[in-house]
Amino acid sequence: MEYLQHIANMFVAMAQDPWIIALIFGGSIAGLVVGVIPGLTATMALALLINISYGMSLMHAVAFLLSVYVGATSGGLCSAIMINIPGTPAAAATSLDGFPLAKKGMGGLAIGTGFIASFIGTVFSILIMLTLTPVLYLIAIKFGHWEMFLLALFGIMICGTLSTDKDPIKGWIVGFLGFALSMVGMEEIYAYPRFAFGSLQLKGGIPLIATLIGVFGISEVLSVLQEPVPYKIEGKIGRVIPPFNIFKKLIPSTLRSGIIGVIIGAIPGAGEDVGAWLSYDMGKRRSKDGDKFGTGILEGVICPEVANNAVIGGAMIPLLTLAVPGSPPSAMFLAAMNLHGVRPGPMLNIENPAFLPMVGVALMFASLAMVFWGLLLAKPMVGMLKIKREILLPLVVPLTVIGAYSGGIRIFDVYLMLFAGVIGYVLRQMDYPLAPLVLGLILGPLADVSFRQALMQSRGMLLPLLQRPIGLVLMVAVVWLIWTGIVRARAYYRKMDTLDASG
Amino acid sequence: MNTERKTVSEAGEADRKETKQFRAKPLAGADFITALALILFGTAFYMCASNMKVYQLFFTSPGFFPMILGVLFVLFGFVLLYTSCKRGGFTDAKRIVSGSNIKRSIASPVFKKGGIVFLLILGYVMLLGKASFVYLSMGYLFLTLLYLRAAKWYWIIVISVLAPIGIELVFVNFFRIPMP
Repeated sequence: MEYLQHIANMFVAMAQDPWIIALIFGGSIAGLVVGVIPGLTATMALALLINISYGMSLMHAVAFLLSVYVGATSGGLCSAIMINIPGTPAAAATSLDGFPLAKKGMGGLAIGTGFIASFIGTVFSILIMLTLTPVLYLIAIKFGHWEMFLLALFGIMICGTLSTDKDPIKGWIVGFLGFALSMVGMEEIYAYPRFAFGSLQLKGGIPLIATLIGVFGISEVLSVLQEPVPYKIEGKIGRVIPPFNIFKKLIPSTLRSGIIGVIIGAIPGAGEDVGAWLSYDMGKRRSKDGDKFGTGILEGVICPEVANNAVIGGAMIPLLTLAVPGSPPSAMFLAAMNLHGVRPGPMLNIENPAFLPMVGVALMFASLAMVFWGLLLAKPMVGMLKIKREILLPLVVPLTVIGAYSGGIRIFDVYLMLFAGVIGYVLRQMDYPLAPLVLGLILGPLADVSFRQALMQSRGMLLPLLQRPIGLVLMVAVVWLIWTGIVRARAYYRKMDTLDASG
Repeated sequence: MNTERKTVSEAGEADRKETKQFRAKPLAGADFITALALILFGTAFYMCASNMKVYQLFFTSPGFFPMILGVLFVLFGFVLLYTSCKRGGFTDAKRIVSGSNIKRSIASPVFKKGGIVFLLILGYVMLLGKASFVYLSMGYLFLTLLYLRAAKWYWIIVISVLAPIGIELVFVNFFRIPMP
C-alpha cells in the first residue's frame, strides 16, 4: 500500500512540475531525432546528452535521460521503414516489413503503428518492472559476495553470447577485456593502484562515461563516415495514425512481444536489438499470417517495436535490483545515476525507496511524450533523413568532447575517449560486439571485489562457496553458457565450411 | 558472342572463387593476429599482476583477480589461434601483413577517408586546451565538412561558424557546463 502511495505521490510531483514536463518532452524529441538518423544509437544519444543532466536535480535528470532513452529507441523505426536503413540497431527487424509497406505507399501507417506499438511495449514493461522489482529486491538482498561475483560473470558471459550471432567466444573475449580495463586504477579493498604505471590520472581509474562516449560515439562516427551508404526515401509517407482495430486483432502478438522484450531486457547486456529480432522471429513462427512476414504486414512492424521498447523496462529490473544493466543504454543511465549519488543495487530500496517509483513514472511520461511527438512529427522526422550524414556526424564530435570533458573536467578524459573510440572502431571492424565491453567495464570492480571478499570469508576454501544454493544455480548457468557457446561456435564454423564446400 | 559469353563466365568464376575464399576465412587472418596479440597481452597482464603487493593472503591481494584474467586471455588467445588456423588463418595473416596488401589497403579510398577523418579528430582533440574551444571547433568542422564535401562552401562556412557558437551558448549559459 505504501509502495502504491509512493507511485501516486511521484506521479503528482512530476505532473505538477512544469520543468520536468518540459525536460521530458525536450528529452523525448532529442532522443527521437538522434534515433531517426541512421548510425546514431540510443546509447550514443544518452552519451551525447548525459552531460546536460550534470547540473540537474536527481528527479529532473532521471526524467530527462529516460525520455532520451525511450525516444531514441523508438525513433529508429522511421528510417528503417522509409529508407530500409535502421536508425538504431533496435529497429533493424522493423525494416523487414516496414520497408515493403513504405514501397506500397503505407510508410506513414507503418510509422504510426510502430510508435503506438513502442508506446504499448514501454507501458507493458513499466507495469512488469513496477510489479516484479520489489519482489526481486527481497531475493537480491540474499546475494552474498560469491553470488555477486557469479552474477557479474554470468552477466558478461550471457551478454557475450547474445550480442553476436556468430562466434560467442568473441563476445566473451570483449567482456573480459572490459573487466581488464576496469582493473586500471585504485582497487577497492586496499586502495592499491593497479596498472597505473605511475600516472596520477590513471590512478583514478578509467572514467566510465568518457569510455562509453568513445566506444559508442567516436567509433560510430568513424565507421559511418568511412562508408557512404546512399539512400532514398521510398514513396509518399501518407496517413500516419492507424485505425484502432489493427491492435485489437493483434493483442496476442503484442502481449507475446511485450513478454519477450521484458525477459530479454532483464538478461544483462542483451539489449533492444536482440529483443526485437527474437520477437519478430517468434511472431513469424506463431502468427496465423506468419507466411506473410517480410512481405509488408503491420504485424511484422508491431512485433519488433513492442519488444524493443519493452526491453527498456526489463533492462531496469536487474539495473535497479543488482546494479547490472540490462542493455548498453541502461549502462549509460547507470553511469549517470552514479554521478548523481544513487547506488542501484539490493540496498537501493532501503536507501532510496522513492527511486523505483521515480523511474516508473518518468518512463510512463516519457512513453507518452514519445508517442505524442512520434505521431505529430512523423513527417518532419522523415524529412530529416534528407540531411546528409556527412553534415550531422562531424557535428557530433564537439558534443562528444564536451561530454567526455565535463564528467571530470580533465582533458585527459578526452584523450581516453578518443583511445576508447579507436578500440571500439577496431572491434567493430573485426566483428566483435561492443556491449560486453561496456558491461565488463561496469561489472569488473564488482566481480573483482566480490570474488576476493568471498574467498576471504571462506578462508580461501572453495567448498563452502559451492554449497550456496543461489550460487550453485548461477554456476550451473555459467557452465551451461560456456557449453552452449562452444557448441554454437563450432556449429557456426561448420556451417561456414559447408557453405564453402557447396561453393 | 562466344568470346563475350566466355568473359562473363570467367568473371563469374573469379567472383565465385573470391566469394569462396572470403567465406572460408571470415576474418581468419585478423583472428590469427588478434590471437597472438591476446596471448601477448594476457602474458603481460599476468606478469604485471603477479608483481603486485600481497597484503595478508594471496587470494585477496590486488593482483589475484587480474592474474586470473591474464590466464584467461592467454587461454582465449590459444582457442582463437586454433580456430583461425583451422580456417587458414596463418596464410591469410601472412597475406594481411604483406607489403603489397598494406600498400593496397592504404591506397584504398575507404582507408584514406577513414584515416583523414580520424586525423582531423585527433588534431582537434590534441589541440584542446591550447586554443579556444569555439575557434578550434570552427576549424575542425570547416576542414572536416570541406574534406567530406558535405555541402556548398558557403554553407560549410555558415555551419562551422554557427554550430560551435550555438553549442557553447547552450551548454555554458543554459546547462552551465564548462567547456574544455
